[in-house]
Amino acid sequence: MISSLRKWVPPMNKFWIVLSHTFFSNVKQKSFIIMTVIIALLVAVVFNLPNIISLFDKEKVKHVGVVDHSKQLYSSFDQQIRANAAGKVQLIELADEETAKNELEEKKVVGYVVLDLLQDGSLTGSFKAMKVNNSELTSQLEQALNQVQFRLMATNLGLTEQQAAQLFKEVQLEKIPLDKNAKSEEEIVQSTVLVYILLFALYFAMMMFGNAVAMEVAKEKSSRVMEILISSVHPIAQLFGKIVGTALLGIFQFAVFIAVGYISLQFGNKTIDLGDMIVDFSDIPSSTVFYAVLFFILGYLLFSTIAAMLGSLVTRIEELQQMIMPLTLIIVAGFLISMYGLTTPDASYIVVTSFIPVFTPMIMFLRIGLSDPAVWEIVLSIGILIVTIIFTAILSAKVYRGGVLMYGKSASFKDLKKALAVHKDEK
Amino acid sequence: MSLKIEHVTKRYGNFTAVDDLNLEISPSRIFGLLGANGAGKTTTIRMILGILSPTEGKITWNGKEINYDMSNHIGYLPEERGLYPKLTVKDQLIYLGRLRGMGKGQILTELKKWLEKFHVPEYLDKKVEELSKGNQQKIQFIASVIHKPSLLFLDEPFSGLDPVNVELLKNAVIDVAKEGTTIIFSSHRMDQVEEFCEHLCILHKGRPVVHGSLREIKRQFGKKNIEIHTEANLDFLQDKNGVTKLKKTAQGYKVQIAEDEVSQRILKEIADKGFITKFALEEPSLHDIFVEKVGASYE
Repeated sequence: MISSLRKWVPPMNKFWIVLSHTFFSNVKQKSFIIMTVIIALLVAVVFNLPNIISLFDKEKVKHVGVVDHSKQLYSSFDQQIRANAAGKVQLIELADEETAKNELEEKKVVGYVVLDLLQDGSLTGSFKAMKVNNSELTSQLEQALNQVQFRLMATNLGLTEQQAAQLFKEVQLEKIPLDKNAKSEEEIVQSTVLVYILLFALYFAMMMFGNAVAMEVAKEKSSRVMEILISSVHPIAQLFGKIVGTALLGIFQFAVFIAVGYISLQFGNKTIDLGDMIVDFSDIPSSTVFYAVLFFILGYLLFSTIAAMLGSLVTRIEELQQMIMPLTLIIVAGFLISMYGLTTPDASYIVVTSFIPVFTPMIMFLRIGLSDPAVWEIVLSIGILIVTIIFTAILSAKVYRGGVLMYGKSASFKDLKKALAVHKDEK
Repeated sequence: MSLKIEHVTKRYGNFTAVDDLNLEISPSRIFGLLGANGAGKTTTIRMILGILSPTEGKITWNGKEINYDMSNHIGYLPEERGLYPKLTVKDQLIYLGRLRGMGKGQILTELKKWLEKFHVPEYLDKKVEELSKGNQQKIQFIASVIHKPSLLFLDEPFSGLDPVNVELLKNAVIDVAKEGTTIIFSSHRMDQVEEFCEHLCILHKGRPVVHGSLREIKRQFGKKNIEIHTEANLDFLQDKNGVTKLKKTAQGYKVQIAEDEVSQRILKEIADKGFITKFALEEPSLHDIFVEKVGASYE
């Protein structure tokens, strides 16, 4: 009993040596530094996007010519534009299309609108410009013209201003959740974006660091340095030293990104305007961040133990990608399911997959972020995940012990059985 | 203070790699572990290192079973060389040395001493992949002895080296042995084994076919060689009593005989057959013994 226990509790001092070596030899590597710097810059750019955009795009007032054949529409059109898009669009009345074309060629206007009043009192207009790819401008013009027409029609029908206003009043459908815990509409938009970003980071991190562990193992095996390592460190201390060392590497890297993001926020806007979604980063729920970190650690542990096991089975680095392909596909599948689930976090397939351990890190996180799973659901899914991690860790320690000593011509899952057989013989 | 291998058997499924092996290796000796490819040498070494456990039997070092607690006192130069190609010699040895229980300062002092000894102090900050194969081997050797192990395994330590570096490394091995390290030396180069090892064991299909001190092994083998340099045709010796093998060489003949006395009969018989420039009675070489003991079963 004691001897079998000893097998699983290898001397810890060497575990720390492997751990610190894994961490520091990678941190010092050029590729790691370059990658960290590039992503950190990217983070800084994204968080400062509004500032950067306004820096380049000091929105100039766009001058648009108007050729009004009816001679009675311009003033109300101009009035409407001033009300809707003051500072963005400025109308100029022009005598005829000839003048308009000249103005356009001299770049005094970006385009011009030709307006006609039809017999029945409705409006017709055309917008002419060198290019008609600025949809923001055309929709502003269109909207203003519509409003002009409404008012014109209302007057023709003998409606008062007030009656017209009543007629065109839009219905505001307010969405009010009755479940106290449910998220309000604003919160949902806010958390969808946040969950999306964190899911992507989760996916990226699990993929990258799972791969890194497999790579470390395969490199040591293919360079045959493994033979010396295994004679000086217990394989289990070696395996977990490597896994934890790489995890710290990942946490360190993400800490850098988060720090860069945080500092960027102090300088720039605390919100990111994504068209009609506004994300306020000063108001990230701490529980979401907590779960993101928790699920990163658990997901990473699950995938890296499997990756290390697969890495220990290959003889040459080139075989590694093929070997870890199934694992990669599982992570991709989890990510895709979570992307579909962004808009339907309560769908039954999301609920079911959130309990499948390989998908739990991403999908339970999605549910926590966007929906409102019961506490027992969260605890159960994490419980299943932890049990699975313990199982894969034991399995991968067994395979690793045998696998690192096996050199063959091609790596396959048959080797897994062989490696386990080698382990079984060992006391 | 000795390494004892008692009734050790290792089976992989139905395949028996090592079959009831008994060895006792006295301390501060260089012990030769020989065998054809696939004879069970690597398995034996891995079992002694504690990487693999024997299916049956027991291996002890100073009376204790070998496990990872002892790894700080064990050195290993594997046949398949392996270092981290991207790490500098310094970082490499610091890591491997620490894994053998050394402190950083101690490692650097020892490493510099060794690099000096091998006339390559400038390699300290070089990446391993930048070094030539022979020089990588020096670094690999340093990695196996830097922690002053009491038990050291050298698997083909001189392969791929030029003669000057072979001498350099041979002297280093002898120095390490003088300091009291027990060395287990494995090689296919019989001349090197003869040069180093007082005791040896030849494994064949997992069993020791020859085992003991080199002198004793040669004595027991009985057969000796006669080297004859002559232009004359001595093919008739083939059928003489006591001649076990006759081989034509560039200068004349090499005759293997069953006993010392046979040489005198042959000398008399060939005296009038032609001009003889050399006639020498020689000890059997380890090479002959190996070929005979291991090769016999192939015939």
